[in-house]
Amino acid sequence: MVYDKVHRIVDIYICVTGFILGGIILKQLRVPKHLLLTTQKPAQYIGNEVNAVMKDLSSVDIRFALCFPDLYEIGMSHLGLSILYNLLNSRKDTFCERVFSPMKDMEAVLINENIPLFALESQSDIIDFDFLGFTVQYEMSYTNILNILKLSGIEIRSSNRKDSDPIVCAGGPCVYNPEPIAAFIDFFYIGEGEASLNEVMELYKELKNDPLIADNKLKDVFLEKLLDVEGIYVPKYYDVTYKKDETIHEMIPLHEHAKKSIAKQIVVDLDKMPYAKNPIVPYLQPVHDRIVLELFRGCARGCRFCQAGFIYRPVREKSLETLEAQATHLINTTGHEEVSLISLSSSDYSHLSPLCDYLIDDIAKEQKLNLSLPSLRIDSFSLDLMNKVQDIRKSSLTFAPEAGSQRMRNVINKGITEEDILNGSKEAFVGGWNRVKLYFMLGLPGETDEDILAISTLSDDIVKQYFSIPKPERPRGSVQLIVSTSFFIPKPFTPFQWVKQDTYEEFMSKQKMLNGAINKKRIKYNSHNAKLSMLEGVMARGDRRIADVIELAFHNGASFDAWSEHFVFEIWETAFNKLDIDPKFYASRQREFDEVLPWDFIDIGIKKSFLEKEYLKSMKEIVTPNCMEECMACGATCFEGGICFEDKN
Amino acid sequence: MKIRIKFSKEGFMQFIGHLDMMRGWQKIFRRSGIPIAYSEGFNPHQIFSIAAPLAVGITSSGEYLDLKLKVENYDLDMLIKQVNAVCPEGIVILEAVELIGKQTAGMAACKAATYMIDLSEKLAKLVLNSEKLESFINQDSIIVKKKNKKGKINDFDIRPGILEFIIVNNALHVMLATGSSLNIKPELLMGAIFNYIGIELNVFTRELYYDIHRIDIYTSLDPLLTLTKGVVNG
Repeated sequence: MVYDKVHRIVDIYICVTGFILGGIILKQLRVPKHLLLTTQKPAQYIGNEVNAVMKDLSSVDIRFALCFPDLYEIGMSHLGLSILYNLLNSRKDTFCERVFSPMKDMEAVLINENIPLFALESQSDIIDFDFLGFTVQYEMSYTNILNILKLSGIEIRSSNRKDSDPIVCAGGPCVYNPEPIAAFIDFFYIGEGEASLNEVMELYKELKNDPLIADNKLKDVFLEKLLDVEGIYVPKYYDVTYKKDETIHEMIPLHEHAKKSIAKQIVVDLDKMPYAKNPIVPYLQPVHDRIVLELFRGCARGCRFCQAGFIYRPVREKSLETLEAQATHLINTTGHEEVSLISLSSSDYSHLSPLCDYLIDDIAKEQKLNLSLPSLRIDSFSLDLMNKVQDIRKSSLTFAPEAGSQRMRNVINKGITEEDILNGSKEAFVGGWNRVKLYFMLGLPGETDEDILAISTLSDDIVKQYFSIPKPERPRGSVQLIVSTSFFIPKPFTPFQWVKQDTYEEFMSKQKMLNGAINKKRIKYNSHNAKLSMLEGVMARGDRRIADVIELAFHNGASFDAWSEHFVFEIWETAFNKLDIDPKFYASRQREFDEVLPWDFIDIGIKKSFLEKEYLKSMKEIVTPNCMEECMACGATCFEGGICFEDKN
Repeated sequence: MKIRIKFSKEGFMQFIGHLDMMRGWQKIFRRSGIPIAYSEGFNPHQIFSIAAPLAVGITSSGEYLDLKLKVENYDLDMLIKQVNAVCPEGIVILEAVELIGKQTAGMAACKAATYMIDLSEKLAKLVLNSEKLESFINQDSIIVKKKNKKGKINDFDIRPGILEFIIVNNALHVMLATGSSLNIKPELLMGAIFNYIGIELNVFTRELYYDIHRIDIYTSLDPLLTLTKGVVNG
């Protein structure tokens, strides 16, 4: 039931001077108005946006607090959150509300005033919910998860929690290796929520309404029953033993129903899947203030460093008709002035051209709508397209060659050639763009000094492309190239899951070398924080023992680690030292193929032997065809749908 | 066709700042389906403007917005209905009048605004019971420090801009000059009162706070006419 507006218009007060004020009484704000006004951007704590859902608390069986463990403006830009919010709220028996990390000033108010963390919609305390569910998008949000638990008054470790505490669950890309945060989470959902989250809710409701199950037994019974649900991992039903060399000996199920392997859940037919039909329109400007139209899931390219390219297989597209209908509805329900087409590689969408024609000719021109197209390959088709949608304001154009030398691009299976890059940039310059951003990675497997210096050479060659264009045809203003490097972080479920990550010292010397080589006259160089990348490497491939480090670092003040202004490496260093855990064991150690990896019990549908083969091919610089060209039998056919079963020409 | 609408901004909407509200209006107008006019050029934007921006934390029952439609003779009741249907809770369109011919823009038409400033019980005790309040308002000039646009702090006399000052129970009812020539914000007046009485209130607390409600904005003081009632067409 949507909250009725009329109910809130109460208390018309007449003052003696004769003015009538139609005062709307506020739904009880958890933080009193005047304290709220002492914080920055108070609008992020009040809910009540257009399309936010309100339900009568007495009419639902399940209360779900859905949390993106970062700031409102970040979380509200995330499509997944919006999808789950719509999915859960489309159930009559469930009321799903949002929770974000409060900003530091608000956190201080909560602590000083002794107010527990609350959900936006009903403003009620998290501790009163049935579920607290986290979407975990990046490893550096782990301490924020702990902070949310603490601010809510919930014990950080699952084993210390009360029966009455909410059931804490998590999903998202990071939980494909759930082990570093397994101690804090009651159960993990592996895969896409649309696939079987409903089944989990049904099970819970059934048990909650079962008069034979006492309230203080509900959580235990539920977690035990979850062992029979596909895609669910309940960490407390497993133990891990270690070898003398500290690698994993075995993961032991402690219950006869605890599966040896947890299978990823996906939706095969995206056209039949519920989508974020009525997304919330935030008042505060989020990072991405626009309609997001999801073209397809998965990626056919198979870049060997890219986790998303493997965990989201197989490629599954939405049909043109579905996207046209969804776009039209979303424009009407939100009033946004921009539509963004998203996917991992939008140029690969089969119906990109007719979809853009529809959006530009039928909608954009009439309604003054902007279209944005991230993740396009830079070729003449996409530049033409961008010319059509971007008018005269040529913002910068971004290429991601990822590596400077062709040799290295073959190692990582980035299917573009130097010619593609140079032609693409020349076309971009002719097309009127003079600001070009380039993304590279340092520290890729087998990287040599030549590979690093090739980044600088390639950048110079791009600048030369600009000057090879006759002056009258060049865009106005001078050419500006921005080269950014990040440090390579090996991720689970990629062909590089076994490789040694560079150490801090190696990263820094590589960065120094590149910095010295880059011609600063036309090129600006940015680089990531090497310490953060190292830590991210530890978290990404960590095991259960890392939980202690996360907890200690959190207790010593770590939070918002993904924010450079809040990240303090020394806190983490101290935690590693104190616990006698060597970060290099996790980050910069080459694994053998026969080592038991912490995430081996998760089954993403891609065979480990395929990843192994891909790794061996990478060392021989052999390129693997993408899924559109040829099936390499990675194992994703087990899902019985998507690109694996489409005709290839 | 140019139109001036009067609306209220209450409840949760008091937390939405002016710039966020401007983006909010764009989306409201898009959702409503009214034929709003867009500016020419490469980056077209909707043509509308707010008469007097409201600070965060202040509610209002008399806000004004001028907008332009790309059609003539649009039914105003229909427009109110369409926009209200898609407004977030807390925003209600109360009136709409057409602006025919050359009219002063809402922003320039503002002369004064009335406010109800509700003090918390504890603050009311400190302020309203003080004998000093009477001597405060009876001053010939009330000098406050005010930052100008360049960030320089200047002395500024707000007394000429205080047009009405009435104590009503725990509240102050005031009329303050509003507009381009003289603009007194109610927070500025409160600051001057606290300063005069000797109360330090830099940050609100659970006990010490006040609520401001803007009652209406006027284009003429004699006779007293609001921004919509004061529109003279023809």
